[in-house]
Amino acid sequence: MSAPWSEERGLLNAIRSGDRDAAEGLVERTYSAVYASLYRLCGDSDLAADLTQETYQKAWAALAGFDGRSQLFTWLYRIAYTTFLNHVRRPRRMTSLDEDDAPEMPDTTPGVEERLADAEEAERLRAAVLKLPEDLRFTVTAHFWGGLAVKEIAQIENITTVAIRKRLHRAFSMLELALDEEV
Amino acid sequence: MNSNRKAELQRKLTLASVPKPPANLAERIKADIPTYLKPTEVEVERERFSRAIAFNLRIAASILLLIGSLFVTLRILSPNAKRELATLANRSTAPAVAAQKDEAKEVSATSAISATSGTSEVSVDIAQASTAGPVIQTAPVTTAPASPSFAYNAVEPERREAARDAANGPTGGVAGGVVGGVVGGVVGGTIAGDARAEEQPRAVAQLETRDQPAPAMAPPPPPPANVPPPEAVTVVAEAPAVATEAGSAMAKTQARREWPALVPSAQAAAVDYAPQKEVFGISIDPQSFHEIKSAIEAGHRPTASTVDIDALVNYFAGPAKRVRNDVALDVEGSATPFGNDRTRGVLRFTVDTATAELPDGSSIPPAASNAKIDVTFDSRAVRSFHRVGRKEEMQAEPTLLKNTSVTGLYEVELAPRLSPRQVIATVRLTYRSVTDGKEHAMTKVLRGDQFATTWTSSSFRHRLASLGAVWGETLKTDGNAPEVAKRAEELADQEPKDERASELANVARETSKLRAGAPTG
Repeated sequence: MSAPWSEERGLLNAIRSGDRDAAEGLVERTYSAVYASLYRLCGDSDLAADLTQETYQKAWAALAGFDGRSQLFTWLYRIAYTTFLNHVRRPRRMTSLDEDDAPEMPDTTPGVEERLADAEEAERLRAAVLKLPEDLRFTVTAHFWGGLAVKEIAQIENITTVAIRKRLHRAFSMLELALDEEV
Repeated sequence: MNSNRKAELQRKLTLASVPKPPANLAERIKADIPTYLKPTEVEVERERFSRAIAFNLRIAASILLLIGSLFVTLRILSPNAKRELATLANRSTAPAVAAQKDEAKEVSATSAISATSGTSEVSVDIAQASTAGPVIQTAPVTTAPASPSFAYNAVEPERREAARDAANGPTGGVAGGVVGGVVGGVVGGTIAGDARAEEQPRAVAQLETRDQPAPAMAPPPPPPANVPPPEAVTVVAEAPAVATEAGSAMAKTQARREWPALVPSAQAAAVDYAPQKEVFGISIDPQSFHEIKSAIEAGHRPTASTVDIDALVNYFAGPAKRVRNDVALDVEGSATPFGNDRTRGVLRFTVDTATAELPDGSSIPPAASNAKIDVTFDSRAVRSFHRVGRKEEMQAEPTLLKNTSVTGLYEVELAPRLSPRQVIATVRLTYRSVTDGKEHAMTKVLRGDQFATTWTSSSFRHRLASLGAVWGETLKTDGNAPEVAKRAEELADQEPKDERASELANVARETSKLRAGAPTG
């Protein structure tokens, strides 16, 4: 996902100079990761796909303003995260993070109970993450679901890596508390 | 959170399964790639323009910051700044020393306001100028109601405050300068500058009287040639028409009555603080003990009326070792030093003010103002009580100086079989801190389980103070001084570094020798 800096710089210059192939190359290289991070955020594959598409639309529009100081994927992740937040905040399209509207799918295959339990736990974890305060939520999702390094997140947030680690520590404490309360 | 739990959470967060993206997602995204990825000329220009503006803004902000820094630096380095800082310092301490000191009234009495005229509104413009002597300008007086009124104009608190700030002056607002102008006679047309006035910022006072004709006024002295335009602070107060430098004696009398309301007397009172001899109406004068001691050593028994038990209690209670806060309150109760009646006890409260390292002879700064102490006994626990020493009620203390300790003792008769949580007494101390200017309250509650059932189990300070009280009573009533001496010797053995215990032992021993037919002083 993260190409060497010089290679990424070249790709960016190529896109800016109007090279469509370079743009398609960027999409090929990054869209899976963007989709994955959005899926983890929203928990819905179709919605994640829509949001991924929207993310790239915004990226093309904002390409001229990208100064190249951060990695391309870091920049894309930030757009994706904002896109997700915008989606959640849109009144008509807002989906409850608390309720599980998914119909129950009876399955009699062996091990299905375990898988269901895992899925439920993952969903509870996702809901707990999304209930974190904004700074902690972004840090956790960017690090674990977006795959960004602590240093990159620190660069985006304009704070030190120590502060990011502190955020992660606080987030873990809050997540543990939230999950324990639910149990 | 333990490391296992953390690792588990990390694992769950990292390993959350993600389905593959839809097959056509890449194509959908690619289809959105705009035909012209290259920015248009307009976009490039817009980008360049916004960057140029941002750069210019940064430059402008830097210049403003530089100018601001230069200005602040110059202000700080200028001679006036020191005076202003001193004014600020005075302003922070002024409330603490309050307006209850009589000295302020005396100082303000030099204001020369004519009381013979009727009511008028006096507007005092005080300004600081950097050059020679203060100048007073008197404005025309327009009307003269028959009866004079000194009612202070309460409508303009800001102006009063501003005037007070100006009146505080750079060095405490007392000696000449602006304070001299206001407190010491600026209103009457005389700015009282003493020898230190040259060090003070000059004051320009402009007096305006309205609504009445004024008596003849001397023309204002000409302003010095190099007086810059003053930054005026205006105070408006209803006052009699203004007399000038040669104002009448009656004007001075009236001014003595009225000006303390306009100018906080704290400025005058803050000048010189000697150690307090009485706090809350409790004598803490150590001289009282020394006089008694001298008399006893000379073979004279002091008369009962000269024995101030409060002062003795405070002498033997002594000062606190070190107090970091503005004020500290200590409350303790124990059985009496003599006798086996466990229902009789002694309650002690001690207020210690902050410890300050001061050179010899220097004034003691205030620690708090408007201090009040209130001791309440619970009738369920206390059958009777009385204060040891003076019988008068304790009073509020306008100013508590640093390095001060005051101890009060109560003799109490307790109800039998007190429960441990039963409240015996509540001691509440309220004061205004000089540090933050806020009102504070400290409350100490003495309960049954905190009451020392034996006198020997109480603190050294408590024992020495109560023993001092008993010795004082023996002086008044010819009581059991040898027992006091014995107890005091025990205390002296326990605390050999504390001279007071051995002092008490010695004087108690000497007192017992005087008992039988000794001459009285």
